[in-house]
Amino acid sequence: MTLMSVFWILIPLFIGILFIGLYRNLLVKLGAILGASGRFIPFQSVDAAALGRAYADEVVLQKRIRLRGRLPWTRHMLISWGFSVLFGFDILTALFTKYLPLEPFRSGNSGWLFLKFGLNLSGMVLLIGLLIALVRGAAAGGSDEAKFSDRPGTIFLLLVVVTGFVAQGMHFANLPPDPYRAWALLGHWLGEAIRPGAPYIGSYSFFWITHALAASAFLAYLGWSRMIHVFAAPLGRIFYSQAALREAKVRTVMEGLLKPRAEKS
Amino acid sequence: MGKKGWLFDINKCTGCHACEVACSSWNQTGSISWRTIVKIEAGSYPNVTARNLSMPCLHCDHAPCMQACPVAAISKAGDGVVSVNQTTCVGCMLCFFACPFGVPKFGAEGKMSKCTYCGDRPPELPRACEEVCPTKAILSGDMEDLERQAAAAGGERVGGPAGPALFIIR
Amino acid sequence: MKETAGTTATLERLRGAHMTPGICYVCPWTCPTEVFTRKGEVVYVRGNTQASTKGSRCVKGEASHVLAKDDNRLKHPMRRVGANEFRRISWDEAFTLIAQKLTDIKTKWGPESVAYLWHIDPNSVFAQIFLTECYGTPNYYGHTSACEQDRRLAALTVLGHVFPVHDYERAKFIMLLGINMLGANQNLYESRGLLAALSQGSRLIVVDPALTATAEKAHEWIPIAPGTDGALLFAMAHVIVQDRLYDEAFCRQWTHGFDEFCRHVVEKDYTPEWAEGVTGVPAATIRRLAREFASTRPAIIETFKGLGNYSNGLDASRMVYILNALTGQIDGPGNLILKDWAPLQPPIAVPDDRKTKPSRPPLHVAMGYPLAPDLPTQLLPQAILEGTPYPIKALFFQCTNPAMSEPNTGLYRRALQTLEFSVAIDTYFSETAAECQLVLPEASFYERAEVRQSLAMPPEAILCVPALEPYHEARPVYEIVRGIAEKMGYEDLFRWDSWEEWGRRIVRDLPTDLETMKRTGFWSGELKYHKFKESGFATPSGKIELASESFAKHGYNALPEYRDRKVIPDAEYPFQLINTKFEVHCNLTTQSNPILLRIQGSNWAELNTADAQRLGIKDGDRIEIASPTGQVAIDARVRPGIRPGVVCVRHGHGFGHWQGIAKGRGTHINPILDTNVNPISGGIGYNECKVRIRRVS
Repeated sequence: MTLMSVFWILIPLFIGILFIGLYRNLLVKLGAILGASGRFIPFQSVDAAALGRAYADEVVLQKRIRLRGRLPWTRHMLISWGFSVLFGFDILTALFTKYLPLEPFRSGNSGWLFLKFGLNLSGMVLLIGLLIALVRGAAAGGSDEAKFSDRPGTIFLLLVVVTGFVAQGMHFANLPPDPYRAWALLGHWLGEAIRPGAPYIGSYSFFWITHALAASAFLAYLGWSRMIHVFAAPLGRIFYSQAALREAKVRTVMEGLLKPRAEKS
Repeated sequence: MGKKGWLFDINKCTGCHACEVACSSWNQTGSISWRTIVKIEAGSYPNVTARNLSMPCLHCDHAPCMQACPVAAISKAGDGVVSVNQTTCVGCMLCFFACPFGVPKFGAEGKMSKCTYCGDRPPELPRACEEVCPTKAILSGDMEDLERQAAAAGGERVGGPAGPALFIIR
Repeated sequence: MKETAGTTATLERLRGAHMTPGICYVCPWTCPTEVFTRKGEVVYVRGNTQASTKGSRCVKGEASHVLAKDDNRLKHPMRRVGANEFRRISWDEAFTLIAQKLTDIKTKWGPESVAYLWHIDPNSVFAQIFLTECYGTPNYYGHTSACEQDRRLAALTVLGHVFPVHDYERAKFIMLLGINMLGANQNLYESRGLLAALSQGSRLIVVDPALTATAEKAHEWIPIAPGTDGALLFAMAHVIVQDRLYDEAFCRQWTHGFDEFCRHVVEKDYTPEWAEGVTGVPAATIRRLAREFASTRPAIIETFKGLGNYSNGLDASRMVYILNALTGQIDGPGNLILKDWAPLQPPIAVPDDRKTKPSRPPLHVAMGYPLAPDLPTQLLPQAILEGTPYPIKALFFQCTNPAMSEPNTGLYRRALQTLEFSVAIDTYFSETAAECQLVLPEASFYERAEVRQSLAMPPEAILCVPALEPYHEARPVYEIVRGIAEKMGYEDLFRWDSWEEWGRRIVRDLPTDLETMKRTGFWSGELKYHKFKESGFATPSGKIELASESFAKHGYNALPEYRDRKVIPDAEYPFQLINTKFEVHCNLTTQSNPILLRIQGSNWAELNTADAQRLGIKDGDRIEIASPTGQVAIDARVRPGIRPGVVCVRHGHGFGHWQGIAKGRGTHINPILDTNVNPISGGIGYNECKVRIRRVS
């Protein structure tokens, strides 16, 4: 059993754990909630404007966090958008460099540079956000703000991001210098900084495998921890935007409880 | 220890909101209200009735909020009181949709909070809502005691699969 | 009900707080309270757990702790320097000015030209002593004519008692007309007692054009035609007299004018059939209610302000007490309670040689209202403008706001603007204060001491300990009066190092001491029923006067009669406009309370479903209500629980003048009400108003 085969077993395993987690901790519960609510609201009475507003305010702009302060909001925007865009570029990278692959995206070409730029920029945004979170988390201590911090998640994700940058840096250091690779921002800067110790063979493998495992492990973790809020919170907030849905439930229950008894003396 | 619950006399409630304000004051909830109060008028003139209901958390036997929470932030203590961990909660609001009674409340910052059964008060003391009610429509206590008192007054336990710890007298 | 007494120490420990007893004064029921403070902040409040309140507190009181820090409160004494301009002055300047004005007015016009009006009147006894005994004006008045004037005069002349309370808990039959005891200001033990009685099977009948919070609890809601309750009561008396359902032994021994009265109702033909035509209540129902009332013991029939909102309310209110008397339901268990008062002393004694006797009669007598239990304040603006019955040169307003809460608000403001001197003592800058020369900040009930009578059934004294330091420069009334007295040569009488000195004087005849009362918040004596068996009734005849000697003495009919109300809807104005209160509002201190405004942010006008449908009005529409006097726009609420032909507006919002979060909320209905005053009691007929309604949006 080679290291690579272990690798190829673990990664699907972690993704599987993610899906099982999403299923158990979210889908099943959603099903139960919708079933138990007793009544849906008709499609026509979906308040599209409210839904759009909720999506914009809660998911995109995350205004609710800004209410707590500009720093928490900045931090969370950096992390959530950094992560989302990074994830998007990861998919694009896999698609255009491995699965299709297309000529502009061959190593060194402009398409490839664009992907690297995207990965690094979003990765840096994510990194900055995580570092702020780490420092502020330590500072928050026993204050009210502490209940919003997620130390384990922060450290886990930081591990993923750092190993990714280091792996990339080592990879670039192993390649001949290329001025265009400056578009790869932090990855490039790191690569140039450690070029004197090149080539990195074993350590590059190590960091690459660790990064891939950590990333998938993080996804697995997402399904079973507070991180699941990345799916649950937008969904719940969008439901909550529907006033008809909120009021219908409460009203029905209250009316039922207040129904008079058959005979009253 | 005995499971805790409520006995609510619908005939006595005037929908005055004193309970809501006392709860908010004792539990320092700011502008969030942990009670839902409704007045429902029905019938046609002159055969009109109006009834009031003031609802805290019902600390259900099989709390749907607890079952629905994706991050397991909600738990049920030995005395039956259901509470939400303010750190673990991620403010996804799904518990609101799970609760048959719409109990979970959300502050501006998004985390869920709700009636804690005045958890810091010893069990033999009245809850804040209970002590200020002008018509004494609210009674807290052990479910066994409340069952006896409800039966004596012609009341009954509220049904449903969630198993709310609530007896009402209609 | 879980016991609340004995829980104070635990709550103190849980909040790291200290409890001081207080007296809530958001509304005039003065419930004894418990105030928990920690480091100069109120952390929790509730009702006094050992007194009759048993921990209960109404929503207004429970939310009142906001008062302690409300930025909208008056902070400093202010003097008017322009049409809408006030300048901050010092207390010393204020006292000097007041002393100078009072001295001038006394010299030029006489002390009677000064009057003092109050509504929320903590420690006003100091003002009363100073003004009526030292200064020499007889004109010390409350706000009753805007409240329960007719009821008060009825209770005084029929029963010889100024303010009956109620043993609802033991009553088996309760009939309420024109009183919403569960939906407006609450006498908390009465609310509890009423609902406890209903749980035990007692019957409740509520007579009211609208399904009020009290009517919700009734076994029968009688949606009577507005202002016709008197006819219902007369008809009930007719049934009781014809069927001889009265308690004859009691009536013969304890009532005056019994035979006269019985003849009178029969001669006048106040039959249930006649009453059906007037009230809309079926004759058979009237008969049934009369019989049920007369045969169920103990019973209570009661009213408060509702009947007096019409010009015919005085005799209707008298009939309320006469009916209780006919069946002997007076001052017993489950009856109206003619409570004894605690033997309290005044805080200060003025020796005779320091007193000034007024040489002119009090204003209400000079105005021609000798029986008015309180000043007919609706006639005050005209009196000021015309200088009759004698010139009024200075007015004091303690927590009373007639320029907002009375009809003809414009006239009130004009009169105030011509007044030579006026002083408002209040916690907030009211509409009335806005027209005064001087505005003085009063300390709230969290920041002052007080010892007074309570409205519990037994003789009871209650006590308020200051829980907090005064807000900015606010002062309690006893300090304000002291400041004035010191500038006018009475500093030796109004002298104390601490409030406890006068506090001790007030309670010196009680079988307890001030230090004990400072812990418990009250002293309660023994509740005695049927006190009249020992001391009779405080009426000219010593008995319950079905025929009133006081009325006869002043040339009024001794026996009550039914008259229609003055303002009856017609083709042009087809609705009767009535008004009621919210539970969340009373007087000024609730106006900018964010907690209360979240519960009830605005007011509205209620219409019957059928009326609304006919007019094309939906729930939530904006409508215009127009009377012959004026019109306003207001939100409409459509409901089945109101009589057709009636529109009901909730009082308590819409003063535009207000700063902060209250500004612009709701609609103020008073500007469209005209002046209508009962010719005997001087009570204000708020519901003497016909209107038409149309949708505006």
